[in-house]
Amino acid sequence: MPIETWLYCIIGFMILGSIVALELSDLLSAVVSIGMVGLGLAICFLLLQAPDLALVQFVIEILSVIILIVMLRATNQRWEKEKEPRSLSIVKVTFVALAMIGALPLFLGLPPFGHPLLEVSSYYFAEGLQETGSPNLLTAIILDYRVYDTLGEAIVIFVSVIGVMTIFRRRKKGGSGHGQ
Amino acid sequence: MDFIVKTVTRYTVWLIMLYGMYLVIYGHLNPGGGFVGGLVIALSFIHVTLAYGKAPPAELPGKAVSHTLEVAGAFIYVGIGIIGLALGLPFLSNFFGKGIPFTILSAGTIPLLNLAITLKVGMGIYLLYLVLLGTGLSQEQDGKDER
Repeated sequence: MPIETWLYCIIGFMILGSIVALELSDLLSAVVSIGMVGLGLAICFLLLQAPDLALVQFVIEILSVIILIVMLRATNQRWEKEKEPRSLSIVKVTFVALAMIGALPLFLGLPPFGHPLLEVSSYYFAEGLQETGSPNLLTAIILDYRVYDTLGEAIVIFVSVIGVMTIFRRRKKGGSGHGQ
Repeated sequence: MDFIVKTVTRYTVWLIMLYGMYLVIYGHLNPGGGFVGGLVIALSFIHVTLAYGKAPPAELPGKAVSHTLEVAGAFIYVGIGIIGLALGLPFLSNFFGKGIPFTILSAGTIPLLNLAITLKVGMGIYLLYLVLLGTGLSQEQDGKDER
């Protein structure tokens, strides 16, 4: 079977998983379903011969499922899905279908699979090892050519950790009543 | 958790951590790097915490230690950039010698930046987990950390 067929199967599986995650009423089961979607993406990366991305995606998916479950425990929320009227869901599906039909010319205009628009990668393949000394070209791009992006990523993680710490500290003090 | 989970954790967690360190140190030669290496190391800590609960068999880094390490990672990253500036090069430029390719000590500042990203991401995610867990590792350590 060609690689595209496998990719279509896995992507269909992922779409199914995300729809299941949206429709489930139990939040814990939805988290597990989202984890399944991420693992499908990791297998896609492996099939496309991108081991770096596959590694990151596998580990991030495991960690995000753990962190989401711990967060469900920490916030202690049992979220119940509201029943929405049938007419509203029909309207939603119609709008999504119309948007897909409207976006069809856009998808038809894309270059074929395996022929990217950006030509800059050929420069990295040709010059990356000489300019950075790193045989792993992905690391060379992340930590040499695009090092400012990585700095921005680190700042994003820092800010999110600080934000979570701030929110949970205030909550704890309000609950226990001491420590002012 | 029960006896089986604890025993399996005790025999496998050092392998996970070793794999994380391997990913970091060989990040510029093999698939891997600071981001995923830090995550695997954080995952080994989380693994022990999940299996053993509030009484881990060894001393794990608490909130204060992991926060210090995380900030140290950020300082190393920005510090490398400022050293580049001081040498008259652009911010965060690769100012070391490139070395021989395919050896560990090569590629200039890339291994150092990998280490900084490891501390930043790994300790950041572990700290996030500890904060969300609510109590940290034990109550009195929590009180000490807040100071």
